[in-house]
Amino acid sequence: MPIAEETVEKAESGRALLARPELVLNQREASWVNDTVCAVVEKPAPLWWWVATGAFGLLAAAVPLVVVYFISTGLGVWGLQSPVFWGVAILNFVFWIEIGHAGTLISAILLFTRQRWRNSVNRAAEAMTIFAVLCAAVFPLFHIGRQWMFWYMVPVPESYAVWQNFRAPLLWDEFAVGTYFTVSCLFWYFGLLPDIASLRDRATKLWKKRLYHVLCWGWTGSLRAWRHYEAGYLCIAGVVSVLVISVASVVSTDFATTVLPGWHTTIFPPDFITGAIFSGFAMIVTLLVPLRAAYPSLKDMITGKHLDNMAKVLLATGSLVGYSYLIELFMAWYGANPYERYTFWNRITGPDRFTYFAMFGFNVILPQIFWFRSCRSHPWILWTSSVLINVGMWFERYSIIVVSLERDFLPASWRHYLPTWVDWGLFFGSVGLFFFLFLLFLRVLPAISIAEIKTLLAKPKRQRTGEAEAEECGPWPGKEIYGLGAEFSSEEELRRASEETRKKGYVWWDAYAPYPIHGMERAMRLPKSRVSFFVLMGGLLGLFIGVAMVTATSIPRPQLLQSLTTGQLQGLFYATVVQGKPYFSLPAFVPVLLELTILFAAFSGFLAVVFFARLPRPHHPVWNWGELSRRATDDGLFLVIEARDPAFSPAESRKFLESLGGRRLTFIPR
Amino acid sequence: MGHTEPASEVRAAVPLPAGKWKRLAALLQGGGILFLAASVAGAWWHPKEFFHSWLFSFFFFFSLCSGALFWVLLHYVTNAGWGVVVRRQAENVASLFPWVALFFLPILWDAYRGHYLYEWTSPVLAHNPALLAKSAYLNLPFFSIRAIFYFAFWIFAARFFWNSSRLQDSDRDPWRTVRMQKVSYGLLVVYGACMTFAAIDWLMGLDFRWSSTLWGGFVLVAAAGASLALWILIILWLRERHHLPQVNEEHLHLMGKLLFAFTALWAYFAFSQYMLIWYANIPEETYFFIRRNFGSWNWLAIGLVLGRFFVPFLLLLPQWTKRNPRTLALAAGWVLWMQAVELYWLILPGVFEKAIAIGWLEIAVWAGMGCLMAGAFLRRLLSCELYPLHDPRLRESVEVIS
Repeated sequence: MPIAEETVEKAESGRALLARPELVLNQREASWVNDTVCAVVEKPAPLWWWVATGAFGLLAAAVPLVVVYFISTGLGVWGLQSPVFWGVAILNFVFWIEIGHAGTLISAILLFTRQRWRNSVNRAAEAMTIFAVLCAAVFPLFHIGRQWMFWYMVPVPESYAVWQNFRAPLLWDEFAVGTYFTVSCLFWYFGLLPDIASLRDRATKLWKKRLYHVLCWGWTGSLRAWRHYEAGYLCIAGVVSVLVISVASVVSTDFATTVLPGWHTTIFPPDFITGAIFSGFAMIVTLLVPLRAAYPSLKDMITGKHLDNMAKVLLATGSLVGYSYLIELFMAWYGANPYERYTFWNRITGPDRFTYFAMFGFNVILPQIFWFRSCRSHPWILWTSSVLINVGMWFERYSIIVVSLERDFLPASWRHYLPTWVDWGLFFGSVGLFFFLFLLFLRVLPAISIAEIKTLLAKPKRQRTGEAEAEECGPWPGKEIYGLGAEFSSEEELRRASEETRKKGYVWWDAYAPYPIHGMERAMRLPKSRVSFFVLMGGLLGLFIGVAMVTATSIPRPQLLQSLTTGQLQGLFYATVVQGKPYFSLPAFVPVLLELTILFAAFSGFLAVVFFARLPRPHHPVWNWGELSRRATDDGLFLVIEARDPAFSPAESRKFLESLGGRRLTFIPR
Repeated sequence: MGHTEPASEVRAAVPLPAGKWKRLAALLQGGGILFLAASVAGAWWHPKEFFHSWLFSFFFFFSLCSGALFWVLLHYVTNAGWGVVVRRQAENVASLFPWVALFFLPILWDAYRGHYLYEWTSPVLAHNPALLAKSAYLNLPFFSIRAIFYFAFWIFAARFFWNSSRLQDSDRDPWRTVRMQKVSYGLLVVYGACMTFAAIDWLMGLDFRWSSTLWGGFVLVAAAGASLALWILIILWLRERHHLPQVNEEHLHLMGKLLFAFTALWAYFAFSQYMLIWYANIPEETYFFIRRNFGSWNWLAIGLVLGRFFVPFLLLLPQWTKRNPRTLALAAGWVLWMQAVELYWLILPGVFEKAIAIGWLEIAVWAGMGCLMAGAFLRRLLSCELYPLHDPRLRESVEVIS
């Protein structure tokens, strides 16, 4: 029956098209992941690394040189002149801060939307975030002119009794970017803990081992700790995803809260977010495609599917950015405000019109090539487009910031803006700094999240065959033992063994694994982690502190404090009217309150995990078992019953674990 | 957590009581026609109020249908697997679009004849310079062409997904899924454009002087959230009656998370729009909010902040409330109710300028449309399977772990 066969074949091909692709290719094992990812750090640096690092390091050296020059000369050496008081410096700030959004976005938001392909790109992306925010911070820091008075923006009681204006978008910026930098670092470091433990267990030099041991807070891989770790990671990811959205929005309010044509538009907050995702993903592609080429073994983890997905994200966000451009154009016309209309007309036909076309061409039209699979799957087409996209995003900010300011309400004051070599020096210096820091990162920490990749490996796995069983160590007569350990060869076995151990009535025991295993909390009957409660409490504390701060600095002195002087109150309750807004302007306080809530929630989440997982742990007796200390962060799955357990007896417990399929049974000395 | 039963262990589904529901549907639709007829009679005395309440009810049910179409499109665009077992109900709701188009006809009539809703349609303003500046967009022929295009697109798209998915139940062809996925990308682009301009035409156009670039996104997010709430309620209802036992706590958890996310997203859009306009305080746009933050309307505005954001947000924050059918139903029902309140707050100040009022007209029109839609939905429910029996991703969906 050829017709029936044909239908079956057709159905099969359809099913094949819809099948979920493997996220780690070639049936790799856990130990291979360790070896491959750590090799980038452990092997001597290749020649290209030295060349590239040297070149970008030289470029980065422009930053201190230029900074010293313009601080000693004065900001007049920048291209800023009336009416363009916000030039390339603020542009670069927005450019970098937006690039810095994709890292946290990949980590947090893709985690919630269950996009498991994120596991192999999130680490590099998070690192990129931190470096991009560092580059961004350079610009406002020097743009304030009197850099030595930077601390005026920090709300600390001081002798001048001057408090910050919490209704001002630039102050929101400071809170948003400050929180973003701290919490991104925390999130990144938190995700690194198990991987640093992997590096520790592989290290051959004692000083390295000790350094990594301190850095990973003595991570053991205990599944009781993993449970809190996972809960904490989810909670922090939750607050971080709110953070990432709030930061891009706050940056957009620098412009959108003004009454300037071209700046004041309500779509700016979501538009800046899509722009941030867009440029950030473009930058990740810019970094990962060469990384894959330099280390071909990583291609099994950062597969063609990953590039394909990222290209799709670029297409989606590029189109959304295009939506914003078009709706802005439409509303500028529809709103029928002559100034608004002129601003957009000027962007398209004015002397700087090429910036508008560069923006539109690179950001909206160019990504449309990703409708075609061939463009998505070709790494170097993807790479070239990603570089051009970031050029386009730079011009987008130029078009928004500079071109709107060049022609303000008063034609007599119109002037063409030209950045000077100092502006360019600082910008290209920051580009050098960014790549320089990323190259350093590659050689210091694992660029791919080892533990998270292992959760993606094909199952069933790791039937270690043809390996000599290590000699079993009996209990030494003279030595006190800590417990009895056994290794299991698969997740399923470990899960079953844990269940049996629990049912047998053992209390003092634990399982160790290099990654969190699904279903273990049920097998071990662990209660729900209480980390989330502490995250909530931390968030509420931050909110409370924020409310107290913005209130005390903004409202007039209440009756019960009338007897005190301004000096005694450190300038608190010294109300000033700003822009005719009410003293207590809740809408204007929301950004600051939100950032403080997130800051406190994230840190209390981290501390709660540290507390519940019993970290830091300078020493743990299970490490006396060489096998476990070498492989618990690599590919070993272990179960250890402690000797202090009332049900423990050397002979019977041993028989019990053997009956469950445990191998390499070992009495661990204390 | 995370204990999924294998597909074989799922209890057998209770079949739908077809005869009973058919009678119920007829009853509902008859009642709906009565309600609407009664309200049309009210149009003689209060035409302005009648058309505003008609727009309010129309937009409420429009947002539910268009939101359902959004979820169906999103399912295919994101190559999702989790939602297969619940997707049919979103397809069913989206496929009711012809009814929504029918409800639009009185609004179109008003644009040409009554001029109670859209001030710009009135011949009195024909030479108003503020209107002339945008008359290339705001003119009756173009307005009608746009509306026809939107509805043609929505009806076609909803029908296409509903039909392909239904046909797959019998012919088991996985290529249907592939085809729907391929088409969905382009359709989502058109869908976004249609939603944006429909929101501009029908809601923002109530006051032709006012504009906001975020408006389309704001309306879309609210519609998607409300439609998701309705979707959850339908699923919970079918599950409660054991018609859909394949849906387990994991699905509820996932949908609860989505509702939570869209609650936050709505708050984000609403706040962005409000804060920027409030902050800049430009007379030509800030009056939109002043009008709605005035007198008793202000209480409704504050109520929306609390009710559309804080209540569902706090309710859905813990994990267990998303997995518990009762609390989830409470949250979903509340969100749906708040969508109505929000639309009321957006539309009705046009007629009740001084203070909030709810007349029997508003209730009658809303109830009439609701009964008609509910009856149509029941018929849809009986006309096809409750979930896509042979979707290639069905197994993935049934075994999903939140």
